[in-house]
Amino acid sequence: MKKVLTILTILIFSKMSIAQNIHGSSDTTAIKQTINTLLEAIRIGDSTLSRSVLSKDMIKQRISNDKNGKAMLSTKNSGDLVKVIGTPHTVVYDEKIVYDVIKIDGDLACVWAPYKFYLGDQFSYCGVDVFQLMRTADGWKVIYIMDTERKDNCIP
Amino acid sequence: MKKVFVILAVLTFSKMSYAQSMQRASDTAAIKQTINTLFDAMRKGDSTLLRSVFSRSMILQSISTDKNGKPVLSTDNVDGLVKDIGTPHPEVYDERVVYDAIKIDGDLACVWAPAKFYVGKQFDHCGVDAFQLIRTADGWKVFSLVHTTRQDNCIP
Repeated sequence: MKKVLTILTILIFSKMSIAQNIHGSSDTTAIKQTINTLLEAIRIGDSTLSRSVLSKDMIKQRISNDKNGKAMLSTKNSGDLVKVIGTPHTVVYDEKIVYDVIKIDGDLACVWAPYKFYLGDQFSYCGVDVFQLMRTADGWKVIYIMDTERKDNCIP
Repeated sequence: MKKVFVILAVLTFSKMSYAQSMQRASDTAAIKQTINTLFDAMRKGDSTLLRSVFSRSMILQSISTDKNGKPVLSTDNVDGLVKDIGTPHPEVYDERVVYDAIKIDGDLACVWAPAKFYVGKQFDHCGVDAFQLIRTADGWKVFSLVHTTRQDNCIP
């Protein structure tokens, strides 16, 4: 009886239903897992692993500054990124991110994550990663990555 | 004197400097202005005005569900949308958004905005618009838009 009352109380006082709430937090965990897998694939240089979390139609865009300080936009596709990851390189590509905002709407998620990029132990550049993910039968997949790139004024 | 106290209080109690927070407020206003212009252009059916808020390499991604409830991703450039808006139609395309999260990092901004789309006065569909904007010499421009589309469970 006490249990029933507790459940009823939760249902009344919470704006969300319990089901929605649990759904939301497990989505957040699954979304972070997908992004962590991508960063792990980048660290170990595993192109197959990276492909497992990227949508085939993934697009990656970057905003950096040209030598006059003007913002420049460059665009790559999934194949370009997988190739960079899989091409043998001597130092580890180590991107360290901090999860700031994660927004979810149905099958779309948007993640805002400041990052620092290291070549081995050497700091290289920093900025913010924006990931858009889509929920598929096979889990959350990255459909879009946008990042900024600079040498200083790092956030995390 | 009162003004000085207000400014000192802002400086003391805010993590940001006064100048930074002013900059942020004016960026936020300019970003909303760009997106509002986009929706004005849609309402007016003005394809020239619409194009003025997009970056040249604008990418449009849309997540909807097929008849089996499976999420489907489609990726397009902006030409299709501009053509749709510019083609004479009897009813007003009225998209109403609510600004939820606006994140800014240097020359990048990311906006998460639940939306309801009306054809004239008739509700048509809803979802969320996730805009990516870049700061240019000519103001903030939209260079990527990912959105979800559904008939019910609307947020705003």
